[in-house]
Order: sequence, then structure tokens, then C-alpha cells
Amino acid sequence: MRRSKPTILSCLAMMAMVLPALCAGATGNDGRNPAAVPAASAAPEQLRLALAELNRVAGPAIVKMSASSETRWFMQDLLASRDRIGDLMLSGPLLDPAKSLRILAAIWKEDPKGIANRQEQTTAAAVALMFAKDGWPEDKAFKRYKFFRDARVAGQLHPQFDTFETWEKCFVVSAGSNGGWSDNGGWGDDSLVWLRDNVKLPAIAYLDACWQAPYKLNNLFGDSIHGANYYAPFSHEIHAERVRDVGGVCGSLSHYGANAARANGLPATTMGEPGHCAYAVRVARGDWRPGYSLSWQRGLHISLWGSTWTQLILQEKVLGDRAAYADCMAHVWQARALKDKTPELAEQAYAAALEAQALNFPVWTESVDFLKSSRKPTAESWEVIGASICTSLAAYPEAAWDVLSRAADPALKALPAERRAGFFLKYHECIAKQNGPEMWEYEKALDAQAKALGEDAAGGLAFFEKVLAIESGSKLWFAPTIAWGQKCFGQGPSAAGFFAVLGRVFASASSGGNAEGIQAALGPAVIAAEKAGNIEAFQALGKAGASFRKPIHVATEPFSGTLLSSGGLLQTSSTCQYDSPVNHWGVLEEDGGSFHTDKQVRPNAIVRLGKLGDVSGIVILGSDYGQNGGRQMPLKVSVSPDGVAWSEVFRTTEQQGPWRIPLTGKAARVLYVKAERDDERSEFFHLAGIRVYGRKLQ
Amino acid sequence: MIMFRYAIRGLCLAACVSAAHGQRVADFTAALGLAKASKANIAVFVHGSDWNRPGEAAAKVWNNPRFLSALGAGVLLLDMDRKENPTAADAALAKLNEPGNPQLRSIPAIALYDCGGRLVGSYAGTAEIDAAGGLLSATKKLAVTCRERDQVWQIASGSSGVMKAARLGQGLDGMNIGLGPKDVYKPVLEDIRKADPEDKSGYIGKYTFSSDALVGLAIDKAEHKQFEEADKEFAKWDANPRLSPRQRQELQAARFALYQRWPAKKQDCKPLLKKMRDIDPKSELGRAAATYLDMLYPASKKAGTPT
Repeated sequence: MRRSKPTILSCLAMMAMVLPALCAGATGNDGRNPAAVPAASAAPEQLRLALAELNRVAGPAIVKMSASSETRWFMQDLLASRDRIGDLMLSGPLLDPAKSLRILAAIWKEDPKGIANRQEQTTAAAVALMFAKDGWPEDKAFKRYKFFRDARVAGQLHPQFDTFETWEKCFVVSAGSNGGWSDNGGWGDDSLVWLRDNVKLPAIAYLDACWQAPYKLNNLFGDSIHGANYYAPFSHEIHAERVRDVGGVCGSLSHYGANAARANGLPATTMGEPGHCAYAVRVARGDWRPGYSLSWQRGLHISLWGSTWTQLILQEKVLGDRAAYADCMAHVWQARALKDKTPELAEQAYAAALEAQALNFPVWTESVDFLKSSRKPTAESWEVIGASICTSLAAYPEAAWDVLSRAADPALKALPAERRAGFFLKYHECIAKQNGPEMWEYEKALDAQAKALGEDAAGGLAFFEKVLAIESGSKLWFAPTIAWGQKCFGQGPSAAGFFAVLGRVFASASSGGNAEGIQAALGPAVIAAEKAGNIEAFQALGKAGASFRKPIHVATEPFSGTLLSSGGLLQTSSTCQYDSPVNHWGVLEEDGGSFHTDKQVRPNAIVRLGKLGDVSGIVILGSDYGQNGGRQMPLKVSVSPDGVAWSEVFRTTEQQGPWRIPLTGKAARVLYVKAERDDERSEFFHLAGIRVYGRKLQ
Repeated sequence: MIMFRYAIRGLCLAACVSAAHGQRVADFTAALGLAKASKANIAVFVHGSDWNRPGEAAAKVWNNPRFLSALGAGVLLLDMDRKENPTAADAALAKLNEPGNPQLRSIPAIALYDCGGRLVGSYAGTAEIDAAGGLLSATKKLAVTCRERDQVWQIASGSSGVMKAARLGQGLDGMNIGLGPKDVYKPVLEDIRKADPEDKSGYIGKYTFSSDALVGLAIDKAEHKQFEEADKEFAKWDANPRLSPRQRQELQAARFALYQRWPAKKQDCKPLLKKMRDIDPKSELGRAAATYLDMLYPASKKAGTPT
């Protein structure tokens, strides 16, 4: 194997001397973005590099357009303008440069006066970038540009729009359906006009705008949303309007909310969740909020790169720092130009790019791919690279793993067997104290790590033990680590070994045969899952603890509909020595369970339902109606769509339960239910069941 | 001494009452106090000065002194500024405005509350306000709606039985907001029930009618092959002359949902759609029925047979 010295890290110091400081902002300093601080002296060099990159990726198109009398002047203007080149080159990855250039030229031709305005220039660039995507019609781009131009000039858009850079406008002009373009009759321009004129709200209120349309599986003719006739009789209405009038399910409602925000000039996107469609609105710079979201497992329909929530948040950080981003990309363009002929220099340029902006995820992936294919680093180099990735992206554990996983295969091949696990353990050390922007597919990462290590069951258990030892101090990754171990090793011949690991890590049992010790080990994991709000880990651990639970079958008459609480999450305000967390899972199920808080004022238990629902009724089961029954009194039950705004639906001082709470027509959209004692006593609080019934709204 | 105190109180109240006739108020809580004393309505203009540009154009109209004089007596004007970035003072004011902060689909908006703090109606968004003839005209229309409602309810208070129920129902009809937000007019429905327990007026039916429930009934009963049972229920609703044209259209649609699933009645689907269309051909649902007829029975259209 060819050795490749110097490595990325050792190059960094040298790079600072070799490369000019290309720290110019990409856009003009017109006061729109305080983060953009262009350095005039560096501007020509940065522009030169940007033009070279544009020529590299779209040379034939530039030549052709420069030769045509129709587009010659457009091209001359564009290539001479640092601002306009920045709009194209510094707004995320360039998907189809030739198509973007054609769209931009067409807008220039159609609206020569309007395009002289800097606001319209960034709108045009955003349209050119988004309509360059596969399946987006080039000939419809001008109409989209015109919509936002006219709406802005007429003062119809949210004032935030005027402060946006091109990359931010990409999330606005991309209104449509499931990330694709949509014609009239769907979420087309006619819907945008209607939404702009009929749904104008403060930014944060767009998160609830989806509920302007009623959730209905069947329209008033009894036709299902899953058939072709649900909206068909209402073809005389604009789609947005008929969604409001006729109704819809999660997809229609989320598109209504997201497109309402975009029609009013605010960034938004719809996103897929398991069995559901949600959306997100950017209510302020750097502040994306999910709407109608029921899971962290979100697949963004519009994104500059990647499709997870982590990447959306990371895009804000990376593109929001205009100076660092421009500096970073200048090095990247240089690296791309050099990598075929002088890969040594390209490596240095990539290193400089990452020094300029260590959070730039696409540059990390590009650099790692380059190193893999062209530089063939040594084992030691891979360890340094791996550590750099983990350290740089530690605050974004999902992104760190995405990059590290690209390096895993060649790194593990280069590393001797005894150092391979360490390549991944370093990752766990780095993320243990980091929460990241959102939960992610952490268990899949553990699967991939175990698979890459290729260990047998004993080796896998040993890896699990090391990871668990690291993550036992982690607020967020501890519970899912145990849940993963349970899934991989908790059954069959490896089960004894799995519980022995738990025992050793928690020093609560000397062997796998000690049921009490194992229960004691599972308990903290359940509590950690609850505190972290990790439904998947809570469910996995709850099911894993089945063999340790005492059956508590209390048959009660259910309310109509399904058991919405099933599959959800229980969060108690405290725990104590009388609490058995493995029993928490059953509180939400018809099997029955229990929880027991510590002595405290206003103790409570909050249920995050397994399904968002229109609640028909709640059954609360006590664990003791006798001498300790008074501990629960006065018992208050509240419901909430978001866990923030609560509505009281029941109150009692009658300590003989179960308590049946009919709620038909009174709790139309519920995701959370809270049971609490509503007085000032410091006392225990314990129940055996919180069963919530109703109609699913997802 | 006691007489003197009463005299002072009387003067204060009189001052309040006279001030309450056509004046601007600072917050909804204060407005409600004045409104109760003076029987004035409260017109609330909702806008957002730090984000809602169309609202600022409307705010200029609202804040023009001539706007108040053009409205005349009996209305209190409240400017409700829903800021995105409120100061502590704004937040404190918003708390006082909470009881009169309507759920709105779009801003700017105008909402009218009666002297008891109940919503009478609203126009949300420039499109609706413009369609009503502008801010002043929209406010006046709401005030007229309230006055007419109160007049028929005044007559109702001197009536009994079916007559009383009908007058109370007419008042609800005038507002066209069902039982209002959070069922604020449910007590009126209860009064209708008391006056007309057998619902001879049809208003109990009208204000408990639910299109969703009827479609749900059609689907559920069809699943259990209890077609006749559902049809009887629909016939009962069909006999209510008080249903609005839209409700009658929704009823035909729900019955259509049943007949589509009922092999013996499948041939009656087409007449149902025709009936739905003909109740109000120009309405949204009338047009939907016509479209559905064309979709499901295209042959008759092509053949030029009269429908």
C-alpha cells in the first residue's frame, strides 16, 4: 500500500501558509445578512476560483450560451458579478448547473428590469437551483419566480423573505408536493396564490395551519382518501381550497401547512415519517420547527443535502456562516481542480477546506471519498481521520456516523484486528455527552459497526460491553444501547451473556442468572429512555422486561376505537425504591402495569400516545384503592396535542376506581395525556393503568 | 350619605355608558367591562405590526378618526396587535386580550363580539374583508348581524313554545357560525330544547346536524348490512324543513355514500346526486354534485339526454 504522508491533520498547519486566505463572503455586503463579511482584497481570487469551478462543471453550456446572441449578455453579466456567481455557487450543492444557467437566462430575458433588483436576483437564483432538480419543469420556472417577485413587491410576503440569502429562498420557492413540482390541480401556483391570500399568519402559527383542514378519511360522499374520487368531484376548486373545504389526511394537511408558509415567503418542507406525512417550518433564522410531527424518523422532502433532521439543522449552521462557507468552498473548488493531476495538493486543499469549516458535512464526505479512492491512507492515518471526523461533528452524532461509516470499510481493512473496535469506540466517546439535534437511527449505526467488525457472538458481546460502558454515562444513548444489545443478544444462547454484561456494567449482579439484578439493570435503562423521550427504546425495553413483570390483568370496559396509548411512552415525574420501571410499559397496555413516584408535590405521569388520536375515552386504573388510595386524590387528568398546552378533562376525589372518562367530541386532537395529583402535599403517587381509546388521526 | 354614594355611582356608570358608545378601548378585558355596562358590541381588529404588511394598510383605515364616527354609537373598537416579537408590555396586554382573541385562518381580520363577549362573526384575511366591501363595510355588516340577532332574540324572549324556538334559531342562523367557538351558543340551543322539546321548529336538528356523523353512519351501517336502519335515519333528517341548503346537500351526499354500498339501491345514486345539485346548483356542493354526475354517468351527458 502506498503511504500518504502528510495526513490531513499534519497538513493543516502547512496549508495555512500555502493557500491564500479566501475568506470573502459570497454576497454583497448590503446589510441583509450580518454574517456575510466580504473581504474585498480576497474577492477577485475567490471569484476566479468560483468561475473555474463553474467552468469545470458547466463549461460546454457556458461556451454555448456565450456564443448565442440570445444569452451572450446574460452570460457576460453573470460571470462579471461576484454576487450572482455567489448565488449559484454558494447555496449548497449544484445539481444540474447547465439547467440552472438556462433557467436563469430565461428569467433574465423575461424580466430584465426586475432582475436588476438584488432581491429578485436571489429569488431567481433560488428558482434556478430548485427547478434544476430532476422532474422540475424548466418552462414553469419563470412563473414561480414571478409569483414571488410580485408577491414581494406587493408586500404580501412575510418580512423575513427580504432578509433571505439564495439558499434560504430555496426552501421557499420549492413549494410543491412531496419535494416535487406540482401543477395546478395539485399544489401548483394557483394553490400558492390562494394560500398567500387566504392563510396569512405569524411564522410560528403555520405549525398549526394544517388543522385548518379537517382530518377525514372519507369525504362527504363516503369516498376514501385512498381512492381516486376523494377530491375529484371538487375539481372546480383550487386544490388548497378544496383541501380546506373537503378535508384530507396527514399528507394533504401537511402540504396545506407547509405550502401556506412557503406561499407567504417562509421556508418550509414536508417530510415523511413512518406511516405518516409531517412538515416543518423555519420560524426564524436557524430555528426549524416540526409541525404535525409524530416521530423523529423524518425524511425531508426538500433539503440542500441529506434528508434527515440533523442535516437540516446542520445546513443552517454551515450555510448560515457565510464567510466560513465561502472560504471552505474556495478550497474545495481548488481541490476538485487538482485531484486528478496532483492529488497531494488536492488533499491539502480538502484539509484547508475542513479547517475553514469543520462542520461542512458534504465536504467531509467528499474528502473521505477522495482519500479512499486516491490516497489510500495508512492505519495510523485512518485513526487520525476517524478521530477528526468524530471530534469535528460530535455535536451532530448522526452526521458524524454518516461520514465515519464511509471510512469504516477501508479503515478497518488497514487496521490490525486489535485496533478495529477502537475505531468505533472513539466515536462513542465523542458523542456520549452530546445530544445532537434529534434522535436518529442510532441502533442501525450499532448494527453497522457490529457487522463491520465481523465478530462472532462472543466478540459482539464484548463490543457491546465496551460501548455500554462508554454510553452508560450518556443521557441519550444509554437506553438505545441497551435496547440494541437486547435485540441482538437478549434471546437464545447469548441471553445469559447479555444479562451478565448488564450486571457487570451496572455492578448490580454477578451473573446472568440473577433476575433481580437484571431487573435492577433494566430499570435505569427504562428511566433513561423515558427521560430521553425515546419511544423505540422504551418499547424495546418494556417488551424485554416482560418476563420480569408480574401479570396485572384488570379487565375494564374499553371505549370505542383503538387503544391509542399502546406503543407509546410513559414519563413519570420521579421514581423511587418502590418503583419497578419494567412495569411502566404495561401502564399503557391492556396487560396492565404500574408506576410509583417518589414523595413530591404535584407528582404526575405523562403518556405520549402511540398514535395521535381523536379520543373517545380514558380509563385510569389505580394500583391501590384501599389505604393508599388517597395518595392519588385529588386526581386530575389533562390532555394535550403537543405536550405544552394542556386541557383538564377530569378531576375526582373519589378514590375508588377504575375511573372512566368519556371524551367523545371533547378531545379531538390528543397526543399526550397527563394524570397528576393536584394539591400541595408532598406524597407518593402510583397508578396501574392509563388506557386511552379513540380514533387514530395518522 | 347613602343617597350621595348612589348618586356618585350613577354618575360614574352614566359616564361609562356614554363613553362606551363609540370609543376605542385598550384591551378586551376593559372593553368587556364597558360593553356589559353599556350593551355595546366590541369590534376587534387583528393585525401584526411587526410582520403583517397587508394588516398595516388596513390599520391605517382602522385608526383613522373617521372610522369610529362612521360606525356610529354602540361599538367599542379594539386594536389587537399580534406581534411576532412582543415586548413584556405587549405580552401583558395579550393576556388581557385573551378572551377576545379569535381563532383566525388569516390576518388581518375583523371580529365582532356582543356585549357578553360572545363572537358574532368575523372576516379573516384581506380576501374576505375585501369581499365584504372593505374594513368599514365588514364591521358594519357584523354590527347589523348582531343587531338583527338581538332583535329576533328580543321577540323570542316574549314568546314561548315553537315560536320561541324558531326565533332563537333565526338568531343563530343570522350569525352563520353554528354554535360558535367552544359551543358558546350552546345555552341558546338548550333554550330551544326547553321551548320546543319535540323539535317541531326543526332547529334542534339543524344545530345538531353533523355531515361527518351521517357519512360515518352510512359507512358503518353498510359494513354491518344494516342499510334500512341507516336509511330510516336519513329519512328522518330529510323530513326536517329547517336544514340549510348546504345541510340538505350534505344529507344527500351521505345518503349517496349509503346507496353506493347498498346493491339494492345503487340505481338511486344518480337521482340523489341530481337532487344534491338542484338544491343549489351554483354552490360549491351543487357544483361538486354536477361534476360527480358527469364523472360517474358520462354516457347520459354524451347522449344529450336531459338530466
